Amino acid sequence: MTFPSTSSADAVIAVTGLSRCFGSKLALDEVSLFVPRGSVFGLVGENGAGKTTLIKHILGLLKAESGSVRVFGKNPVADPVGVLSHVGYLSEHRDLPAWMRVDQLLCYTRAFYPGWDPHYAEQLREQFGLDPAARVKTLSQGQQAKAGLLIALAFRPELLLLDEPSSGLDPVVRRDILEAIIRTVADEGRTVLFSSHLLDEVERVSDQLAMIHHGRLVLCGRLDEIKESHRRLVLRFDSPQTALPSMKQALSIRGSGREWTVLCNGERNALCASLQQLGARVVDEQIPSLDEIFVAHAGRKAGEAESSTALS
Amino acid sequence: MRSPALAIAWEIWHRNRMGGVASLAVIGTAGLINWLVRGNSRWAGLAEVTGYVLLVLALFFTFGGFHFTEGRRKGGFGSFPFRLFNMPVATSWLVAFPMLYGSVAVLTIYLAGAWLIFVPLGKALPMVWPCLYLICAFTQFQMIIWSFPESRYLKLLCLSLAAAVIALGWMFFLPHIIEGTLSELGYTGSPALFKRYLFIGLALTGPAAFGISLYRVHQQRHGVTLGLRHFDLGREWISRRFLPRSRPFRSGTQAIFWQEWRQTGSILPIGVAAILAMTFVPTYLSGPLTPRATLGVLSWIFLSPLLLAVIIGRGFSKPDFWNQELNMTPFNAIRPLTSGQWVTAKLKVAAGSVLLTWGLVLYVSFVWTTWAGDFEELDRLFQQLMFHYSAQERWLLPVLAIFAVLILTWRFMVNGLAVGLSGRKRWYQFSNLLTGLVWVTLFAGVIWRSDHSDHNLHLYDVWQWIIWLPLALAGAVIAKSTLAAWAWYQVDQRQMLSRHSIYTYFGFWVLATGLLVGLVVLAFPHTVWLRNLLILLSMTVVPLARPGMAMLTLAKNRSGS
Repeated sequence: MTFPSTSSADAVIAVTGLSRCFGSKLALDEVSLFVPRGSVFGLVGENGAGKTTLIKHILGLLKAESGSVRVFGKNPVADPVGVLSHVGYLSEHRDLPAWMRVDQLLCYTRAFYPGWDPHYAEQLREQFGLDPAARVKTLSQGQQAKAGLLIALAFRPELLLLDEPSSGLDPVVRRDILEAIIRTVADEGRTVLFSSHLLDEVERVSDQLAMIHHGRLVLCGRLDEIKESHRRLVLRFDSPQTALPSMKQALSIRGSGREWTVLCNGERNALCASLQQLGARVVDEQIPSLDEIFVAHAGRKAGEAESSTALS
Repeated sequence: MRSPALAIAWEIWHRNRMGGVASLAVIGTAGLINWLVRGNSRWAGLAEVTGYVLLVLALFFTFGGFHFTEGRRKGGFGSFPFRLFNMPVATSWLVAFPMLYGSVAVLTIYLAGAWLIFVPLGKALPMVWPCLYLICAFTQFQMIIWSFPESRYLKLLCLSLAAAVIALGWMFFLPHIIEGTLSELGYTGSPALFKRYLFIGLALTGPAAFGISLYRVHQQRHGVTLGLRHFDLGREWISRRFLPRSRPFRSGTQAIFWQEWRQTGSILPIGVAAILAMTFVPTYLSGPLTPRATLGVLSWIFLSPLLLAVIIGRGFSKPDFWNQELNMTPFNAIRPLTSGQWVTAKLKVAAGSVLLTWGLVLYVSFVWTTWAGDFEELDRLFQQLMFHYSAQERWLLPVLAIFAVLILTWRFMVNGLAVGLSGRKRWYQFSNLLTGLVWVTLFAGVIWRSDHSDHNLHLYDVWQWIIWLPLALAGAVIAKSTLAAWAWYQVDQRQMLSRHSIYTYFGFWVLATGLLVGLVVLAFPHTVWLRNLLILLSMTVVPLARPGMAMLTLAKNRSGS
């Protein structure tokens, strides 16, 4: 699927036709996306959708089986040093060396990045409340997430990749610190790509969004444009309906009796015409939340997958 | 699954079924071959050695397969699977089932080997004491790996001590050892009584191991840790005192050297120090040694770094010594360094570790020999040296010999890097199997030879094999050079290492190989065929292609391909 997007010339990350299989499982299927410089790019999708696999390709930790990945115009597999020098990464698994102390971790990581800002690192360490003498293995999951975030941020990377950054963080840190940091990074003209399950968080922070479902990119673009292009219509029928016929413009249909709710994408006018033929009146029209859009897309794709399986 | 006992049995079987079937199949095939060639005296010796090798390898595999541990995220490796603590099963059963299954598996392998491999050869292996001994060894092994989840170094130390005791202990069941060596060691009681004590000791070790394991696993289940506070404080003090890290690193390469050193640099020196302590303390306390015993102890001490390097080198070749996974962790993989720089750091850490180890061995051996040793045998050796070599050669030879053992130890440490860093488990397992096979064959050959020392081995007996050796070695040198040229060309093309570093390594290779050749030329000035053969062998000792290959395989591992 292709989406109107930033041209590859402005893009910090350019992924084109990327596919990847793990055994018989297709983890990524012809994914193409461009992440513009200075944007906060949210990557959403259910568990196993392919978000981490995509991020690993961007880091060069997985080699593209087909398609191409370019970060700052370079191939991260062929030129790891050229790419990774400018990328801060927080892993989903927080795989920090358990035996290091926090001060050793900072000292160690600093060695790789000439742009490391010791004052900023110290400021973040104090903000996160990390004891420099504590060993990583004694830190809680949330504290490990903070330590990981600290070392990803302290050299002021041009591109910040955060894989499920909220996992393990308490709501206060998540809302007040993480989101503030992400916004600050973007305000400085740097780029952030982060994956999350928490759609309200993505909605608050990101200005670009990509939705992955079963390895396929089902939605990609500016957040406001995505939301603008979706509508939730409340319909009323003169007589009670037991079911509505499936319509290709509708992403989801819910309801019973006389009142039904339909979520549609882009083709509103065509849908309204179809509904009028069925005898329905649109009594309310709202912009749906990202959560609703996600569920509608995921549900629709799951339905398509089930029907195609049934047909085959 | 109807019961926890079946579930645990299924889990162990499911994890190891391929290896288990392969072990039994290999033993069965060897037995079939032995049955077919029975009565053929020409093959009997070879079949016997092969039988021992296969049996020992199968037993090693069984120990490895039945350890029943799992790595944990927060440091440490291989502890009792914590997930089972959530199950409604008594701790005693959780401990008893894996211990029982492992013991049965070990016995099955031994009995299968004894019946299928050795009975057709007309050799009846002893039954009672080896079975008890194997159960003892297996239960001690499980007890140690379950009992110290808090400290991997303590676990490694206990495993090394136990392995050394188990590797030597079986000899005390052999009749000629009981009757001969015991009296030399100062034992004055009857051999039968000694043997009875041994049996009682063996019979008690199983229940004792179960009891200790139960106690420790029960503690772990309820969050009670071993009181290692003082041990931890001591380690922390050493770390702060001797390995401070207050100033920043000059570069990323220095940082990874430090990381590698902290993780793996001290393993070989600590292991050798433990062996030195185990050997020297008892011999020092037992009073002055005889000249022969002095030479024996020194030989064992000088051999131990090499043997330990072979074992530790297998773990060292992985991206993380303490982790069972072979994939590079994202934490390390995302650092902006080339794979060449990672491998270089590993090579340097191995070199530092080897230098420290041999420094320790030479210093402690010198001190110990002066205090407790007898120089008579050493003096005799020196006289021989004086007879054969000039004054300069007499000094040069020991210096070059020390250099040769340093290089050899280093080689054993870095031997498997290309495979270990590839991230391919099958390659790694196969490489370990091959290494094990070579070393067990070597030991079996040495033991077999010492058992048949009455039969003189003449050069013309093996000459038909020796004449092929130069060709084989020349082929190995050509293959090594070709592979090295290809690997280093790729490294250079992909800019994994600077040209200067590549030339430096090549210079080191030339120098090290030159010194080894020099040692051979000095040591064997007259026997031309042997000298030339050893010169060819010297050219295969210092790794040339392997570091380049390691850089390429690590690059593939990093990108998940």
